[in-house]
Amino acid sequence: MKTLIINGSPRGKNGNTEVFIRQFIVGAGQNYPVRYAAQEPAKDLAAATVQADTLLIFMPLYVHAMPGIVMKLFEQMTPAKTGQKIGFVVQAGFIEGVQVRFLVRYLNHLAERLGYGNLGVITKGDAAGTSMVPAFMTKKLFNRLQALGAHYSQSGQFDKETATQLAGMYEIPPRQAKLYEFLNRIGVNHIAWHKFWRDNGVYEQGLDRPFAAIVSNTKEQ
Amino acid sequence: MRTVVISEVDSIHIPGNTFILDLNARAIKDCAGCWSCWQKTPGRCAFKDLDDFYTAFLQADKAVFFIGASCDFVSGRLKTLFDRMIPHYLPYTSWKTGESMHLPRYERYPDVEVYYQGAFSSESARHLFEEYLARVFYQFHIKRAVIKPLGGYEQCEVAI
Repeated sequence: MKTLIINGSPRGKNGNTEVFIRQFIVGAGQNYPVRYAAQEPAKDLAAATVQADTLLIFMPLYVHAMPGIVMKLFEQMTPAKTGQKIGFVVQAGFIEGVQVRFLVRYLNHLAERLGYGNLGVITKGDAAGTSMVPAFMTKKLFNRLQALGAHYSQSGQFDKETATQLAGMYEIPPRQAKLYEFLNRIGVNHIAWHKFWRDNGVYEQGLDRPFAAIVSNTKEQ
Repeated sequence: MRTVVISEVDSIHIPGNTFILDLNARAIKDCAGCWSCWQKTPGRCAFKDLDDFYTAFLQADKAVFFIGASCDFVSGRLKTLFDRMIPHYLPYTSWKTGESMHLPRYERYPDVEVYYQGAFSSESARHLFEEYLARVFYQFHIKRAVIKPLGGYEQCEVAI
């Protein structure tokens, strides 16, 4: 059984999607080949998918859907051969699963449209900092991704319980949303961005409007 | 009324003085996911190939999209354009609406009209396409977004 993993992140080997793939592979204990949508033409990658028994496509959520480069890959893919399977893993910055709903619907539809056996769509929100935060913060996530990989290498399927754990909350409970918004008002949630701006020497420019009709607080470059 | 047109439908006649982003004629660089637009050069993409469009879009009263359906979804090139609109929004997340949203960077954005053509494999696929577009423009803080089959444009003869 040949498995091909596709990394659909525009960041290729340098992003959170790659971290997800590496943890999955560690858990699987198999050296699955990985190819990168950011590194080769969609046509070539689509041709490679024909050779796999199972295709696992990992991607970040971009504007409620797949990144443009992944849609360009989908446009080149041909109907599945008999018995070919496909599965998807989506990691998102926003914390609630509901943000991924359009993409989940589309990916399930795409699997059916192309005639693949569908392993389903794994989703994980609140993943924006995965490659940056200290190890203790990602321990639970990594354990779950490894469990997903281990179960897949044994059964060829995604484990439902692990999928539910990874998916986390679907919607933010109203009281929690109010708390977050309160933290916004007192500026707590902006601290990380202010640090980025300070480190990059653009602290004063963080809220700039470089393409506005009337440029008020910006020097045109 | 300043209008900007984003088109991947060749048969549409557009008055000569309108800014047109022709997705068939112009290859747009794919978002690299570098976060320069949020962290290093706020509001500006690391790629400069869309700067003329950004200027036209953010100064327009209305943006009209003439698009095609591709594999029951938006085309890869239109998706790339959506990815490349992120510089116009702040990295800050708001929960005012009860869900995560990015805050607007600009005071105003144009209204949007979308006219699409192309066949869908099912009625539910068409619904997903429309619902997805509506969600994108909601996230993009577009106050008024109309999404219709291209026939709607021809019948209504909407003034550009």
